[in-house]
Order: sequence, then C-alpha cells, then structure tokens
Amino acid sequence: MLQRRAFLQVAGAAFATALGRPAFSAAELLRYGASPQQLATPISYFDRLITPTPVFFVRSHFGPPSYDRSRTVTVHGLVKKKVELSVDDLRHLPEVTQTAALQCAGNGRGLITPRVPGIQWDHGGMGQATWTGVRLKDVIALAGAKSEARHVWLKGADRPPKPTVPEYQRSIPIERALHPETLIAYRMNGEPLTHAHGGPLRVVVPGWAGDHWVKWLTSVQLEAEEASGFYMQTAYKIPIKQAIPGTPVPPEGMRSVTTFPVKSVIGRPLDGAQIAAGPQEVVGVALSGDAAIEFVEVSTDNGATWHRATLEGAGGIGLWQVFRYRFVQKQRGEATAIARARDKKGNMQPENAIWNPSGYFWNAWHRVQWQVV
Amino acid sequence: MRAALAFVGAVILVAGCREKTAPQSTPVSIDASQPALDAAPAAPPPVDAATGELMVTNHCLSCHSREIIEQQRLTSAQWSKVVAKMATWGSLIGPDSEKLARYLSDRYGPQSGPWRPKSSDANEARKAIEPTKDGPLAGGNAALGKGYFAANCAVCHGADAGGLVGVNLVDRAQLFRATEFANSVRTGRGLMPPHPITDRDAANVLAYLRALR
Repeated sequence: MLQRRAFLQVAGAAFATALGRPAFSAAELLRYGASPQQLATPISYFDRLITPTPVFFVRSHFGPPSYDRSRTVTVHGLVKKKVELSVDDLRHLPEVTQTAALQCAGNGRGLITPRVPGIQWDHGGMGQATWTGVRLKDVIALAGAKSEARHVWLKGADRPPKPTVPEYQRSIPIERALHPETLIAYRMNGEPLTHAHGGPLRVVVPGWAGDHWVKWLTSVQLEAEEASGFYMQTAYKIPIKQAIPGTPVPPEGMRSVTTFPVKSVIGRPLDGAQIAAGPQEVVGVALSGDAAIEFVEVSTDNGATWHRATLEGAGGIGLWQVFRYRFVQKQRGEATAIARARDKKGNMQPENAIWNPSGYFWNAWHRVQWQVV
Repeated sequence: MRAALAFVGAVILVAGCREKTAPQSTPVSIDASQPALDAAPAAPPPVDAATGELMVTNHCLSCHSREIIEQQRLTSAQWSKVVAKMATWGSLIGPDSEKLARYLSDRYGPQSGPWRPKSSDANEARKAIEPTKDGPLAGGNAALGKGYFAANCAVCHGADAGGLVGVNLVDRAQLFRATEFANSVRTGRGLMPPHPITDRDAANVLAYLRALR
C-alpha cells in the first residue's frame, strides 16, 4: 500500500510538470517490447534533472525473475571467504545516495544508418535517478579480495528463455568495482527499487553503459580474467578504429563498451510543436561517461552561430545536467535548434555519430524543428 | 499486458508442430547432387504472408514480442545472420531459415518505411509484471503438480522446467501471475498450442514450479 501511494505521488508530480499534458492523462512510456518489457522514456522528460520512476526506461534481455526480496547476493571466486548477503545484511554497511544517469549502450540505435539489428531506440533509452545503496567495495571487503583478482563478474537472477541461449553476465575491471561511486542499489528516487528496474538489488556504475548495471543481482564473482560468455566476449563491443559503415569488423578489431560518450538531447520544444511568437526556450540534458559537462551550445541558425546555454544541477562523470537557452522569435514560421555538448576532457559531441556494427553510443547533434505561431 | 503475450510457455506436447518443424524432418531443398552454377539463379518468389506469419509465430514469438521484429529494418544479409544466430540459440527454424529470412527482409527491410513505438500506460506497464492474486489458482499441491508437469509439460519445457523446445519456467515473474499463466497455457504462445488445463491442475503446476530455483 505504501509503495502504491508513493508511486502515485511520483506519478502525480510527473503529470503536473509534463508540458502540454492535461492533468488527468496517464504517464506513458514508449513500447519497444511487451514481453520481456522494453520501454523508453518519452523525450519530453529530458527537461529535468530526475526522471520519474514510473516513466524511467526499462530494458533487459530476458525479463524479470520472480520478485523475491529475500534473494541474496553471493560474493565468491578469488576471495578469502565466500559470503552470502541478504538485503538486510547490506543495510548494516554505510548507506550512500548518489544521482547518476543510466543509459542503454544501444540508445539511439534507431537513428543510425545503415541500420543494424537490436532495439531501435530513438532517444528514450536513458534516464537519471538518485540511487541509494551500499558501495560495491564495502561488499567485496566483507569477502576480502585476493591479490590476483582483476575483474568482477556480475550476474542477476534472470534466466535466458532456453538453455541454448547464453546467460547474461558482464564484468567490470576491479578498479571500477572498487570505485567509491560503484554501488549495489536498493532504492531508486527514494523508493524501494522496482522490480522492472532490477529490484531488490542492482549494480550502479556511473558513466558506464547500462549493460554493466546488472539487475536482480545475485552473484559478484572475483576473477583474474574478464567474464567469459556471449554478452562479454561477443556482444557489447565497438570497433577500436572507426569502421566503414555497413561493414563487419573482425573480433580482434573490437573492444568492450565501457563509458558512454558526450551527448546532449533537447527535451523541449518537441519536434513539430507549435509555440507562440515571442520568447522561445530550448531545454535539454547533457551527459558524458568520461567527465563532467564543460558546456552546451545551441544554434538556432542551423549551425552558423552557437550560443552557450546555462547549466543546472551538479556536474560529474555520468551525471546529466539540464541546459537551457532562451531567445526571442517574433516572426511566425519555422524555428530550429541544434544542441551540442563538450565534456571537461575536451570530448565534443560530433555532428554525425560514428557507425558501428551493433549501433552503440549514437551521440550526434540533436536538432528539433517547431512552428512559431 | 496481454495474457497471450506473457513470457510464459507451458504445459504441452507440441506434437503436430514438432513434426512440421524438427530440423531433420523436412528435406533440405539444396543438396550437393543438384546441378548448379550453370545458370543464374532466378530470384526466389516472395513468401506469402500466411506462410511467413506462421513461421514468425512458430519460431520467433515464443521468446520475442512481435514489435521487436516489426521495428527492425534490415537487409537480407542482416536478416539471414539474425535467423542463423537464433537457430544456434534454440529456434527450431532449421531448413526454413532461408525462407524466414526472405520473408522478414521483404516485410521489414530497409525500404519498409518508419516504425513508431506505441504509447504504453506507465501504471499498466508496472502492473504487467507484478504479482497478482492467485484466486481460484491458490493452494496448489506441488507433488501433484510435479506429476502433471512430467506427463504434460516436460517434453517441451524440460524435465527440470529449464526449457527445451519450450521456454524456461524456473524463477519467472509470471509464475506469480497465476491467472495470466493459466490463460497462456489455454491460449498458447508461439509454437505452443492451446492446452485446456483445469484450474486445479494449473494451481498444482504453479505450486510445483514456484518451488524450483
């Protein structure tokens, strides 16, 4: 009952702030898959720091296991002492809350040409939330990492539909696993982590693509090598050097996806909107998995001139900030805005995204067009 | 969401379907004894919609939602690669692989026009995976369910319910959505034909499956 009330409150807040939506309309996601659920956040939510949980995108390979709050996570492999921990056991460790953006590696795949197979996300395979849980390093410390441990294999309770389908497992290097911002989360936006979003426990790796944020976590395994298996050795790879669009890349020319590149997306105005002549406001979010955002620029003349947008919210690796740019257009007719971001490592959002065989990390300049009426 | 779309296979020997689709049961149309290469091959005829959709239902929809297929815009070479991957992952498409890839690339090729996701009510989406009341399917007997499963379900779903021709039924969220589970069994999904299970038998099977890990 408590959960339901909380949900309604969050949902209510979402309704109240969603532009152009009547108060009675329901919050909606965009459905790329019904079962297992593959659901995108509508772009209109990319005008704020926190994505409400009910409209926060949902993606998994196999769909959820049964919801079981008594599920435990086992820390094993190259450890001094194997430990098995319940959610309640984890609560004895120091609790950490941090905000971070979660983005599917394939977000934007539907915008890539030539087209590649996979979920054809537009922009909605991402969201930002506050995550509360414990540091993965504190959990690993309970078991004691052996000195030869170099990688941490992460696995959830979700099972493939058939034994002939590979299990979902990813690993992250030990340095990233021991980073103080890498968490095992049990709350999202202040509420118990929902089943759809990986509850009771999921991994949080700020700046790294969503495939590392393993949901329904049950196993933390320390090993000398990175994880074996399809989802580590074959899937989630990008070319080391830029590939010729539409051509295959041999396995030795590929590396694992890790951090997502710098990107900005305009949440408002919506493409095709009608807005009264006078003050116009371009609002969106900008993020990078490699560094905090340095600046966002907006062009309203198809890239001839660029204007700095103001930034809101705290900056950081894998943390999105809201950008805002205001201008006045008195004459009626077409208006356009293009946004591009640069991060503090000097990475610039490219005009065109780099094609790759699996369609990961689309981050081209985002352009919207609307009518001033 | 729709019960028929639930990721719950269940209960049944798919006798008819298996005969039609088992990899060894249909002669392969290309073999080494056929004359070849002396004439340019004619473009194969398009696969009619009824045949194509039957293949999609039988070989894709046990594991995938229809929109996962519909949103793709892939070339013939890409579709062939996808179908070949699914064959190694347990689809029984076998000798019809080429025909299925041809159907999919005709229907969902690069020139097929835009696809847009449908809106999905956030509250409905949340409810679609959360446990529901067992109602008349409560209080099943796991021992009886085990027997029913062994006699009716195991041939497709595996003796350990971990999946075989049918999908894995161990530790699935849908096991706690009893009515939807029973409806899936009764309606069928993908290769699984409808099976008229009684409430009591469904309750027993659920009690058995829920205890597996």
